[in-house]
Amino acid sequence: MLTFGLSGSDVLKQMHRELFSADLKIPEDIRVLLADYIGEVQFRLVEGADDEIQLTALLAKMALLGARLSKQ
Amino acid sequence: MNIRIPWVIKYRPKRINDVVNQEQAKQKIIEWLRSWPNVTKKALLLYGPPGVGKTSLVEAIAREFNYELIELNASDSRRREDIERIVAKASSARSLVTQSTKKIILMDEVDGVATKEDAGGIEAIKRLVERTVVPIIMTANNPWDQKLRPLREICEFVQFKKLTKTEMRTVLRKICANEKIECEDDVLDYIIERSEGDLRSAINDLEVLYEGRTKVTLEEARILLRPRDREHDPFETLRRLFSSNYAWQAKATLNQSQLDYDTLKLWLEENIAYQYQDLEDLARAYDALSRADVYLGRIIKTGDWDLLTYAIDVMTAGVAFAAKNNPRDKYRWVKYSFPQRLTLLSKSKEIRDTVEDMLKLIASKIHVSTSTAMNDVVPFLRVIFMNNPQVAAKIALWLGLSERMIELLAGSNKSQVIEYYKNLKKTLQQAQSITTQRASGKSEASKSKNTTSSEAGKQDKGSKSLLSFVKK
Repeated sequence: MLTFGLSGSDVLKQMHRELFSADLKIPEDIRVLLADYIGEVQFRLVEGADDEIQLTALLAKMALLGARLSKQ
Repeated sequence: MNIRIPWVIKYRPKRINDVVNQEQAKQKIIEWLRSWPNVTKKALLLYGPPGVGKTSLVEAIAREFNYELIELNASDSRRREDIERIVAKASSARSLVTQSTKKIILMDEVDGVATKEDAGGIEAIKRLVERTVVPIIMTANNPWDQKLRPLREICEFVQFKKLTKTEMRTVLRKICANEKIECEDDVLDYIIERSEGDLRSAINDLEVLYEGRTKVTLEEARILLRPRDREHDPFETLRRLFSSNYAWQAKATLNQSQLDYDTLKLWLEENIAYQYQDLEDLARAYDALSRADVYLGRIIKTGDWDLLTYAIDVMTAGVAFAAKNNPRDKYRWVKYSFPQRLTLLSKSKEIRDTVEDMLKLIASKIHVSTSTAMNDVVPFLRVIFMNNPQVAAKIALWLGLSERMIELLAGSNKSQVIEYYKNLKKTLQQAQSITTQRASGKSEASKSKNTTSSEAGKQDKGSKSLLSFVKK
C-alpha cells in the first residue's frame, strides 16, 4: 500500500474482483465467506477505521481459512 | 427484385390459427370479446414471456373479426395526455380503412410504462379502463411488477405459455422450407435452445445466420450468435439462483432478472424456507440474507454504494451455497410464491388509507394531532361503536365519517350503526328542508327568521335537539 500509494479500499476492491475469477481455485462457499469478510472490512473503513489494522486482521482471517482448507 | 422485409414481420401470424399453441388464451380472448361489454372486467391483461405471440394474436383476432386496432406501444410516449388523446380517438373517429366501427385498444408492454417519463400513465390507463366504451387489451411480460398493481384488480388475466421446443421447431422448419435454406438439425437445436421459448428471437437468429447464405455449421452459428442477456421472471430467477453451481453463476442471476436487489430480498425471504429443508441449511441461508440486509442498511446509512456488491454477493451466492447438509435441496423443484409481505401491504392499503382519512377528520374536529387521535380517541370510539350504536351514529354524523369508516370502527355492529346513521341523516335533511321552506315562506311575509325557528313543529324539535348535539 505504501509503495504503490493505494488506499485500503482500493486493495479490498481488487481482492473482491479476484475473488470471483476462475483463476482462484477455492470452494464456492469459501468465496462467499471471503466476500462477506471483505465487505465487513470495507464498511469499517468507511466508518473511519484504520486501513492497516483492518487489512491485517483480514489477512489473518484469510490465513486461518487457508490453513484449514489445506488440512482437509 | 423484391423488397426485403424482416422475417419476423414476413412470418408474423396473419390468422388466429397461425399463432402457435396458446389455445387456452385464444379461447379466453375470443369469448371475452364476444360478450363485451357484458363482462366483469373491461380490460384484458395478456402476460407471458416475450416472443410467444401476445401482440400477434391480438392483431390476428382483430383482422379476423374485423376490429379496428388502436395501438399504443412502448415506442410511443405514454403520459396522461397521450392516453387521453387515444381515448378521444377511440370514442369518436370512424375508421377510413376497415369501415367497421368496432374497435380494440391495444396497449403493448404496459410494464414498460416508465414511472418518470410517462408520469401519470398507469393512473390514466386505470381511469380509461373504468369508463371505456371499447374493449382494451394490454400486454406485459411481468404482471407482478409493482407499477402495475393499480391495474391488477381491474384486468382479467390471460396467461401465455412459453413455446415448447417441438412447436418452435415446426415453425422454424416451415420458414426454412419457404426460404429454401437447408438448416442442419444441430444448428436449429442451438437456435431453439438459445431462444428459451422466444419464437421471435429464434426467427431473428435464423435470419441473421442465413442472410445471403445457404449453409451454416454449428461452429459458425456459435460465433455469429452471441449469448444474449435475458430478463427472467421472479420464479425463474429463484430457480436459477438456488440451482447455480458456481458463485459467479448465482451472482449472474440477479443481472438477468426482472427483480432488483431490494425485491429479490423479499422474494428470498419468502422462498428460502420452501427450497431448503435442513434446519442448519435454513439458518445459514437466512443468515446470509440477513448479512445482505445489514449491508443494504449500511449503504443507506453511510451512502457508500461500494458496499452494494458485497450485499449482492451474500444475497445470491451466500444463499445458493447454504445447503451444505442437504445439497440436493438446491435442485429440488418447489412452487415459489409471491412475497406475502407485499401482498399483505397491498391488501391492507385500502384499510390503512381509510384509517388515515378518518384520523384526519377526527384530528381537525377536536383539534389534536392524528397520532393523538389514533392513540387516545379511536380506542374509545371503538368501544362506543361496538356497544352503543345510537350514540355511535350521532358521533359518526358529527365527525362526518364515511360508511367504510363506521364499518372499521363498529366491526360486527356495523349494520346497526349504519341504520341509525342513515335514519339520522334523513330526519336531519327533512328538518333542514322544512326550516328552509318555512324561512323562505315567512321571509316574504315578515322577514323574520327567529319566529320561524321558534314556531318549528313537533318533528322539527326532535331534529333540533339533534342539531344542537351535532353542534356540540
